[in-house]
Amino acid sequence: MLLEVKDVTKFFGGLCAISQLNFEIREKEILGVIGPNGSGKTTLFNLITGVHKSDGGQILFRGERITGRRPHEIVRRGIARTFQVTKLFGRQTGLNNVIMGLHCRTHAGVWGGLFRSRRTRAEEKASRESALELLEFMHLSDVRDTPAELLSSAQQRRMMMAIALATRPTLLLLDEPTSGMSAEETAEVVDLVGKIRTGGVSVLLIEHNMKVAMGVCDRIVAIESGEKITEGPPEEVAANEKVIEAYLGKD
Amino acid sequence: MATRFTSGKFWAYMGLLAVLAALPWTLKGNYYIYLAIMVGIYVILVTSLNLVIGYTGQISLAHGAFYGIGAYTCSILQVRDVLTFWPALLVAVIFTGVLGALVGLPMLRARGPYFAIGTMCLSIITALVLLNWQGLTGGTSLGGIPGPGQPTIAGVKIDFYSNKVYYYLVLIVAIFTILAVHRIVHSRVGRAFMAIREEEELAEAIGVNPMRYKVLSFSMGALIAALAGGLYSGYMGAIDPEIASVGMSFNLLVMVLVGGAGTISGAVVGTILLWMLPEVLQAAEEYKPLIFGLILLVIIIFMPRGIMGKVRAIHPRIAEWIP
Repeated sequence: MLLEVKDVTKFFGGLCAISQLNFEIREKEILGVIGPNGSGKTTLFNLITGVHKSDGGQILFRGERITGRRPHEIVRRGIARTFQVTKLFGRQTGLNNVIMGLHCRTHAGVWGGLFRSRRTRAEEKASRESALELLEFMHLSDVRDTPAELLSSAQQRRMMMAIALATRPTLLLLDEPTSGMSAEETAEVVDLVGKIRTGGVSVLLIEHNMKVAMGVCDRIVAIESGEKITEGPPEEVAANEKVIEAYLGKD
Repeated sequence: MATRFTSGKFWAYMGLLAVLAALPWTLKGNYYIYLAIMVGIYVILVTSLNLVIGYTGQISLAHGAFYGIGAYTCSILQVRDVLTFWPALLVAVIFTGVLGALVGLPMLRARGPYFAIGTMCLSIITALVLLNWQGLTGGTSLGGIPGPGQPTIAGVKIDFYSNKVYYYLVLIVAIFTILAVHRIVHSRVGRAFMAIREEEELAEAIGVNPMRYKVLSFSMGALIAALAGGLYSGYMGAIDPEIASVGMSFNLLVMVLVGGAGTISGAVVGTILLWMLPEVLQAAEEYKPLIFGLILLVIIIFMPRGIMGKVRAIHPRIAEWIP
């Protein structure tokens, strides 16, 4: 088991955002999380990545308890994420954005930077090469010299994925990666998510677009008001009465 | 290496260096060499503050405090006959760097304007302590600082009391400061600073420990400020608590912002501009804040990224030539 979420609970003031949530992610699996607005999907991401501290339960990654660790410690262990609202290093070029993503897999410190030892130069060269590869993989090669703030919104969302992949994760958390995209752009991302899994990375996907979720996920967890209402293969979840109710409301 | 020595950029910088080396011989009168030395010391100060403000995005008003603490530490050690200038300078630099880290650790928890206000208070406190701890600091002024003096190295007497010689000392330190900061910001550590500046949440999500790098940047800034402070005290022979005041920190902040926060050349351009302008205008000391305020206002409205930020944005080739 790659990730185990056990009885995780989160309160914001008196409001229960996540209530005793349980689910698991297997190796090389694409797991979708669906639910209406405000059902706690992004809160769940923030709990797994250490942005929020949970008020109960625990989260295990490869058997190790990661509850209570800081975000920069968790990414080092192999969980990377993207954000629902685009976050990039706006003034940096595309290439630099991805190189920055390599931070936790590189080592040069102040002395290395000051004296540019052979080791530091070799590391810089390797960083550049693997960043270029990632840009190519995410279809962003042509914007390597463009400041990130000038990219189209679809390019920005793929850039966010490229930065996350640069941290060499074994689990990638994508928060609505196709939001605001045309059908064509969406198909491109769906295709890339498949390729990422083929490369050995598990994916936890928050998705609003049911078609996308149905098409790409191996399993789906449906949540409403911070509680899991069902879990299973896409077709089953889509046919589940509670899910239909949550999305469309009672007849 | 062959390309490096045949490139136009290399020779352009060599030419600039030659001009700077010839400068004291072309300036008429000691006053202008004094100005050149002060500009050099301020270039060191502003370049190091740029690391904190321009590259890490933390608006610090404590830089004057570290400049003052560096100057006083270096001077007191000499005046009390504990150490001579060079070892005293080394102790001052290390002491202030460590102090920067210790002070930064709690202060950098505050963000944005709260950090600015906190560091402003640090400057006020430092200036007050320096003024009132008379037993240690001599109160309103500390004089009789020997400075580097007239050492004989390999049979050659170097007279640091000469304005020209001190100019070269400051020039060398300024160049090494600029090179060091340039190398840092183009390394993994510098990228972590800029990641924090541009999107702290994303920086954390890619594995940057924001506290660690903010403290590192703040401490390195303090360390270099102390170096400038030591050089200043060694040149003037007397110092006063004014150098640690909020006004001092504010002037440095204006130089960073006017020149272009987050550009290497901006720290130099901002410093030269704000030192030369009052000279050109023949303004009295009391009108300086007015001039600084006006310039800052105009720059912030028309060039939010400062003069060099604007210039570098004109064309990628310019950005390639001017760091």
